Amino acid sequence: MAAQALPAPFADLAPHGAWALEREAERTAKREASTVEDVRAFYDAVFPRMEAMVAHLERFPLDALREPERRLLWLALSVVEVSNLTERYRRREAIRAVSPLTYRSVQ
Amino acid sequence: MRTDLRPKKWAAKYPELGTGPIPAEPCISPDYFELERERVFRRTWINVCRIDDLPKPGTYFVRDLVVCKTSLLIIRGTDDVIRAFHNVCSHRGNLVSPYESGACNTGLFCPFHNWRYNDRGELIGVPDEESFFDLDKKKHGLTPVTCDVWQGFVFVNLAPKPEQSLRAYLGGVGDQLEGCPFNDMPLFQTYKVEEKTNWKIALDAQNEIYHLPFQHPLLIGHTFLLNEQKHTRLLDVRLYERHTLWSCEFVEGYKLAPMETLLGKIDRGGEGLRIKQLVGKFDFYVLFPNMVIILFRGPAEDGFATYNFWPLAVDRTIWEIRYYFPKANHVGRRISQEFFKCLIRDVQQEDSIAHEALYTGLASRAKTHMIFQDEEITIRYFHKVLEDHVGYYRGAHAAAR
Ligand code: FES
Ligand SMILES: [Fe+2]
Repeated sequence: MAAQALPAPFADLAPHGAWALEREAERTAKREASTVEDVRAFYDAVFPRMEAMVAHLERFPLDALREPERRLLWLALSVVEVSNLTERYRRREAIRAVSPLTYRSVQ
Repeated sequence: MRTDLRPKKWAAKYPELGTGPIPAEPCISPDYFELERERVFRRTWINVCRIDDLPKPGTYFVRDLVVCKTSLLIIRGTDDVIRAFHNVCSHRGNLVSPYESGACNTGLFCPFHNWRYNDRGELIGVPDEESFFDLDKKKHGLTPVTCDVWQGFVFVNLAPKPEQSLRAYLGGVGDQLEGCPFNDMPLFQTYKVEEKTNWKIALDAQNEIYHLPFQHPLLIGHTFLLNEQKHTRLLDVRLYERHTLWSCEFVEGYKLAPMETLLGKIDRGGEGLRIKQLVGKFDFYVLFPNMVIILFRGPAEDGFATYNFWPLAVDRTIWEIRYYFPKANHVGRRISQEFFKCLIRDVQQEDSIAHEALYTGLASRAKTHMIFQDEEITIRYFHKVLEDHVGYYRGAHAAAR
């Protein structure tokens, strides 16, 4: 379980740890597999902490983050991943505008 | 330079282009597609990759050029020269590399019978060579394809003898973009979107901003400069010998989404890398026939994107999208880049739906022509340049236009 840990000041975000995904394709797949309610709950819990998360991460060099910090960054990137949905669309159909099979993220 | 909000400026700037409707047939006709194959894609300079795809000497990249019915090997030799070949073995025609990319500093081995080629395409090894008859290895290297590099973009030309050098082909766009720091902006993300559409329909749908308030109302409907009636206006249009540019500005002080407000606080900006010759905030170059280079000016630094529209068939296209940003130097910048990428990606998902719907509509033949307004002038010009190459309406179909 330790490998899944977030930095101590953000331990309370553990229930949302499943969103700490390294690759964009994984984050997109997670969004597409979620309900709007799930996405909203994740965004509402983590978005207000973003500034503090970034302040924490800024203490380390970007290309040499330790594992908990790396996971914290991925969590932040997942908030970015869903923000168009929660801030702009606010609609269910936007969860999956285009089939992920046709829209293939290569990197 | 400021955007002139009046209508019908571009037809006045380029009156010889006319203002009439454009036939839809080229977008749905299998005959037209066959002519494009021969007269466009096998005769013009085609961008196949970037130096990023060949990260060091002794690496290669494979580009399946379906429209030309071939697969190409782009090799950066250990001598640091970039060469292109058909990815086809001299023995019995197998594809030499079945991979998308790889290292070839110790040679390339055809998987079928292990014929070996060096990084200059020369045949250097044949198993059981003594069983062959008068086999002169020197005569059986890989088949070369004309290849040249401009600003880190690798182009090929499949013509046996290209009519022009790459630099001459790029013309005024090459001049305009000379000295851009493309090489300081590494590849950030690639997408490949496979669409049931004609390649020109997809390209045309990107080659204007008229649709933004309608097709993308929630994502970017209000960020590009609009006139009082809320219609988009281009800052500038330039028609080159065969390429085009349009440029536009963003609205200043538009209402920010919460994430954008946050980015304003956490993104301290990058190294301030700028592209000097930028015309507006968002410059969209179409490099005939199937490539787009977009330069965008962000608050903190610049970046660029490329599109390649790869025709597979008259009704099948792969839209390859790539983003390039200066390497993020801190977390806030990294998150900012991710935001910009995701925003445009989601816009492009909306576009992808349109690309397919447009093809379905035109393929019904309910309409014989498409109508273009003044702000869509670069599409009009693109179809003119294309037809100049294809010559469909110069021949038997002259009356059908
Ligand atoms: S086909 Fe390539 S080695 Fe035989
Ligand atoms: Fe669009």
